[in-house]
Amino acid sequence: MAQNQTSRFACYCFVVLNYSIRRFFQGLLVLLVVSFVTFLLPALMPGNIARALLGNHATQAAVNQFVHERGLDQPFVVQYWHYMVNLVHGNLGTSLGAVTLDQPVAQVIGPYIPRTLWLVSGSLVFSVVISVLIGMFQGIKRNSLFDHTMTFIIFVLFSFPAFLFSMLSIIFFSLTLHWFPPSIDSPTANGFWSPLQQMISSPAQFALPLMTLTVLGIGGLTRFMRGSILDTMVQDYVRTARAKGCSPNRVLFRHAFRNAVMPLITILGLSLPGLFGGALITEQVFNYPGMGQLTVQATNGRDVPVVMALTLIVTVTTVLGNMLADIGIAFADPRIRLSGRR
Amino acid sequence: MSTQEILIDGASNEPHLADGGEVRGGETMIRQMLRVFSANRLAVISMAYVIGVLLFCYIGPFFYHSNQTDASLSYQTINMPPGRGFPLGADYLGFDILGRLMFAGRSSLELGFLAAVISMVIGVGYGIFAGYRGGAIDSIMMRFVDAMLSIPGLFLLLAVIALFGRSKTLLILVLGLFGWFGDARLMRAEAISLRDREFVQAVRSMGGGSGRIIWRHILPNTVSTMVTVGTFAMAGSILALTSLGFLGLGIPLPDTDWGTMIQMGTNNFQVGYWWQTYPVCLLFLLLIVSFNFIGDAMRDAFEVRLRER
Repeated sequence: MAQNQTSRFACYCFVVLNYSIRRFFQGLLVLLVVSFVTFLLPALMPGNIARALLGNHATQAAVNQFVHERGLDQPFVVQYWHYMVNLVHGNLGTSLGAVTLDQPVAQVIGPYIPRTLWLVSGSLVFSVVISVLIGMFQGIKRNSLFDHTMTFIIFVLFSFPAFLFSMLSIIFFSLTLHWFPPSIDSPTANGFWSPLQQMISSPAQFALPLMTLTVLGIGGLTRFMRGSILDTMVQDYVRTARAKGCSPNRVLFRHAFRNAVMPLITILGLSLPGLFGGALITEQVFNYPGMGQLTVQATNGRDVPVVMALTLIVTVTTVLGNMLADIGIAFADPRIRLSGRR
Repeated sequence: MSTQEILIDGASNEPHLADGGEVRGGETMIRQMLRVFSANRLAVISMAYVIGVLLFCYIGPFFYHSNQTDASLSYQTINMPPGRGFPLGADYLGFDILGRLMFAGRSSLELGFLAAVISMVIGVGYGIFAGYRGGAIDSIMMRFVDAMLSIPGLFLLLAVIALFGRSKTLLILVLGLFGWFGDARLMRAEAISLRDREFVQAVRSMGGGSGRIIWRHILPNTVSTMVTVGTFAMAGSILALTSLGFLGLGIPLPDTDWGTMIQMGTNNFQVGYWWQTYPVCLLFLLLIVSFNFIGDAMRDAFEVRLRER
């Protein structure tokens, strides 16, 4: 008996591992395509980079020299090979920005990464808690006044552009009510944990940005959670639980809730790109020097290598997030893995 | 135009649409969809609002004349509050805000529309081709879409703008060429659901080629999805354009768009020039919400058609 269970567990582990490896290679493939795109876009127009840096009045000779010095006139394959080798070594090229000229890109963007990551993960936590609560109550009290009102509110919030919401929240909560400051103090430290420390030491500053990102996130999540709980409440195992005399609360939390929450993990992973886009706007509005604000600055300064590197890093984070979500759910819920998603 | 033709065509129970356009109890398909759509009061109000904004932007300037291009004439009225001759005040360059709303709205709507058209054409073509072909080609094509979808859209747009700069044409191209990935995925699903249906098999057995099947039989049956996707694409591209404008990367002067207006207004908000922010924000927000309501109602209307079939 015990041995049987052990071998079943081993088999289970094997299947999950197998799935995880497959999923890992899928993610790697996606990253390969993305890195090709971030390589290809600048390589298509080497003159553009030169013009962007040297200005429109640069002579053709100067442009040619610039292109030659940076190896932009070599064949695509050679350039791509160099690009990938550098990428694997963590070398993202050198900046073309006015202030950070010729500094390694990795060094320029390094301090900005954890700030955005903490902002996004903080808002993810809030949006999961809020949307699970709202969605569940909507599902239980289906077609009640609460359900309809929430559906309407969520729909409007769902279509609310990030910049309008953050701006209106500043106008209302900060300029009118004076509850929260309208911007975040510029960070003093660059460590990985320092953004979290700043969040904990001055939560009022982060209230509005986090609220904006949370509101952006809960639209889709709440809708999904409502549908998910409705689906599980009509399942056979819920009926069985009711029939054997479980209290309604126990049915809800022990049987329905756990199963309904699982698929949410996938949706969380899928909502990451939108969240990073929202973070870009939010950082700009609240003057928080994260990856988003740096992207806007670098775009204005036409610092192509920095923008490309930022795009790549954000995408890597997204892909990793999706991968973790898929693998996590495979561990937690074997049915999804066995039913062969993808 | 062609959308309507196909819809009407479908209603007349043409044989080639037998599986896609059957009609319940003598009610034509288009009327049936109109019935469901118009039962949704929010969607009707939204539709009226969108039409109102269109009229405002395109017919409005015929009745309300204002200087929108000559900064040498406008410097005396910089940041004027609402009052005589300036119903909604003037902006930081002295241009009349009411007229500015129409002027900016025209470029926002036009760019949004053109970008949506480009992304729809590519997305529909790509998605239907991938879905219809299936197999290895399909999975390669879709892996590419997966990869592009995992790049956060705004970052991608900024990367392209950093590289190519910005002008009206470039913004249209950028928004169109990088906005179709989601559409392609939806259209592929649609093509897969259609490609093995009886009417397609019938055409194939009669010797119809792939081109004919896609063009005459699959494409007309995806019109409902296309219209819905198109509505959301339109909202999406206007929103993306306005976000870019808000980041200071919108259409350069002397042209302008709503996003740039919002950004300029925001800079002056703390000084108290509320008229530079509120009207444009309200107009824009209601437009986006309206588009989403319309898209949602269309999906419902088409779903009803499918359910009652």
